[in-house]
Amino acid sequence: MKDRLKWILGILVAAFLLLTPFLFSDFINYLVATLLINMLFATATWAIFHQAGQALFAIAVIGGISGYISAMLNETISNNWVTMAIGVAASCGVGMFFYVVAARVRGHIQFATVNLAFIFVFRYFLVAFTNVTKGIDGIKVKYFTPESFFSTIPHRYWVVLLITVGSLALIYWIMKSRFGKIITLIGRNTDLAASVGINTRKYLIYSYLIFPPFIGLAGVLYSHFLGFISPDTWNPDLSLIMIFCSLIGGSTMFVGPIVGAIIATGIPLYFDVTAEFRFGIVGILAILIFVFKPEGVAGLLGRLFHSTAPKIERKGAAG
Amino acid sequence: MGNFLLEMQDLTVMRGDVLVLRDIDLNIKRGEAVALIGPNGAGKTTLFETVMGIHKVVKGDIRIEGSSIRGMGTERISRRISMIPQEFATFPFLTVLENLWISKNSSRRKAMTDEIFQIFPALQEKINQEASTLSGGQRQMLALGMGLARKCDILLLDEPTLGLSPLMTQRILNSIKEISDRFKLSVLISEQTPLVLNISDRVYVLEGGQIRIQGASQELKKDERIRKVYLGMAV
Amino acid sequence: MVYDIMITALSLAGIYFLISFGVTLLYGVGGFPNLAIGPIGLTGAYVTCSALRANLNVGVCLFLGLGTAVLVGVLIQKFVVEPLFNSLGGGDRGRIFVIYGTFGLCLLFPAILQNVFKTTMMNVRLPSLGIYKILHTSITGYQLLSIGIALALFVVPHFIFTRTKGGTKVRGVTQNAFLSRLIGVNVLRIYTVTAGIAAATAYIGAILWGEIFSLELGSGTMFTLYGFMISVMGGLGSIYGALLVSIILGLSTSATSFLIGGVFEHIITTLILILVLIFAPRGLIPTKREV
Repeated sequence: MKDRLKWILGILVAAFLLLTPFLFSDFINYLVATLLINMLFATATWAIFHQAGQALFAIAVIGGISGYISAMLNETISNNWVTMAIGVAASCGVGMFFYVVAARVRGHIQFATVNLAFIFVFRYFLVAFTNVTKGIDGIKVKYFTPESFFSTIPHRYWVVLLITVGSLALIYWIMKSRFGKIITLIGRNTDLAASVGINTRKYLIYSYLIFPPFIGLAGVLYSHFLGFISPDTWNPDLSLIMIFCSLIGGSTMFVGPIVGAIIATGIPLYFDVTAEFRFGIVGILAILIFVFKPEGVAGLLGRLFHSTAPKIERKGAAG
Repeated sequence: MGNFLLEMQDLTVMRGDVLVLRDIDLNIKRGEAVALIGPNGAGKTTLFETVMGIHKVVKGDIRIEGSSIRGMGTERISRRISMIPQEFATFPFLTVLENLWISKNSSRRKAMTDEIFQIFPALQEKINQEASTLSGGQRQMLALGMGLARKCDILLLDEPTLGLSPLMTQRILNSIKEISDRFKLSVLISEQTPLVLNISDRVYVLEGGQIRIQGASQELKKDERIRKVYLGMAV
Repeated sequence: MVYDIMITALSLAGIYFLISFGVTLLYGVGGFPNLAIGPIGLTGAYVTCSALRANLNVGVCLFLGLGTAVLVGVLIQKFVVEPLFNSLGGGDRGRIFVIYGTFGLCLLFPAILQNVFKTTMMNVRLPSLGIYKILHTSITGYQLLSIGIALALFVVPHFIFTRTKGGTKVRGVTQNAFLSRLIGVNVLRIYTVTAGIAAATAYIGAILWGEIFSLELGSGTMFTLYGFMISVMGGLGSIYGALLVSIILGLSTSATSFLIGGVFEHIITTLILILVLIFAPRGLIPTKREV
């Protein structure tokens, strides 16, 4: 019965999303598309950050590199589906680079600090090499090929919808599979995983190969959907917001980052709040929620619909 | 009854949602050595930590010489009661001397260090070495010395012989007896070894958060139940 | 020219050390990774700048700024850091939540500061402390001050931590907080005082930075980042390590900006961070912490 309800709900949502361009203005369309990309970004972040337990704060760098590679290659290679693919592939490489750093630098705080240094520097890097990346103000990016067809927002919207929903489904499938369950165990309790004979190294390498491409995908989607890419987008705040999406929405469930993305990015986007306040609001929300309701908004909602509440492991309870 | 130095009445303690100690009645007279035995998880450590003001008392009272210390902060309680925890009872990267130095309760009279070194001569040799370089037995001696340095009249010792060899266990227990007699201290010592009954006057058995049995050590030493269930000895 | 580089390097090292001192101290004593330390210092500096613009007495301005920073620092320690740390039973999980929470504050502060002070950039206009001739070149009073304060901040704690009973007790707290509590040390009070000192040094660092460069809303996050990078490179919680790294970074930044040009200094710094961590993952002078 509950499953049927979920299916019906799912179909309704899908129908709604498909018909959005007909129901609403271009502005709303644009918002929903951006929101969808954010959801993808947040979910991929959730997978590697909260599930696999990797303090990969530099996700903004991964997205940024893919976005920029695709945007720049597009100048010479006219078909940007190709350049996007290259950008996504590049994010694998970047992911592996971070794996190597993580393996060498022992300790979450050390790794987190290196990551933060990277994002911080990324911006300066982009600005410094002004010739290639056209510097501070950003560069114009072509819309999806063929550009004439995709110059309208609804068409681009559908592409984004298709790709993000498909990717989310893929991530869901991955996390539900044996691989995903092992990754989650490694993230929760690495020693336990190792002691039951799991080759944690192998699985971590796979995570760094599998999840960054989704982040890279979000990056290329951003640039080719918006038609613009600049160094300002890829900053520490972005990484943090994506990480917080999972905390706000609930870090133990797949829908957590999705719900979190809606709250953390959707609402401020809609109300067109200034950048500082947007981040500030996310900051407060995140703190409030994980102090008072660690299971997140999705967890709360889940408890309303189901009888069994999602379980959160809390260390330090009695004994 | 004003002749108890330390007294617990109906003591009930919760940790999180779990009831850990229930209706504990326990008392220690001045100069007495009392043993607390029971299986792992019975609540011995929680009991000690509650007395030191670390856990919240849900019901009941704890009194020193008749005055309640319920709700008092650890800082104040530590001036009357000295607790030596089960593990990590020393500062690993401070020297033996530094460990003793900062344990000293400066409001009382000075250097007891000489007396401590008399009881534990091995410590004097290692006086400038870091505590982590000491052997298990020596570290336990240091912990006892630190407890002594506080100049309290009540000592709580949480499984002081845990992990020590049989010879070391006997030595430590003997030292405890010597300390208790010499300085007229009241000692509450939790243990799993039957040897503790040789140095204590009375014994309480704690299981599942409640006091099951209590009495004089000499009598309970011969009790079959105690021997079999709590001390794991062949009857 | 070499002397110019050296002087700049030393004064930069001093400021870097000041900024990282708070991070190092707070992590060393309590194991709290407080990422909001930068914005805390910045807030104090903003208060001082505003007061200076209102032409109040210099001493008063400094006092107000310092007081604000310490107050905010202590409040955050008590109401954000400690609750978050304890809510998950402490240890590494508690630490990660402290990182989230204080980083959230890093996001929050610029918004608040902008609203309160109605400006993005601030110039520190303190009275000149003069320029002195030294070694074929000159050095400003503030550069001297940054070197002097950093030195004092290194020598004095060393003395306190090794020779005094109170300092040794604090060392005890870093090694075994529970035992410290049992022997009557007021551990919470020590954390509060530490947070206050960390805030004060962050404030001084921010003011000096503002005097030599300038301050803007994003400076808080930058201070935090540099503070953590230096701290991690030196060995989290190691004051000697932080000093060594500050000197190295001071030299590299100074040399880069004189020889190549300012834009690359951050990149070089990050490169050094990576190199150091690759060859010395626990930092240059690792501390021993008993969690």
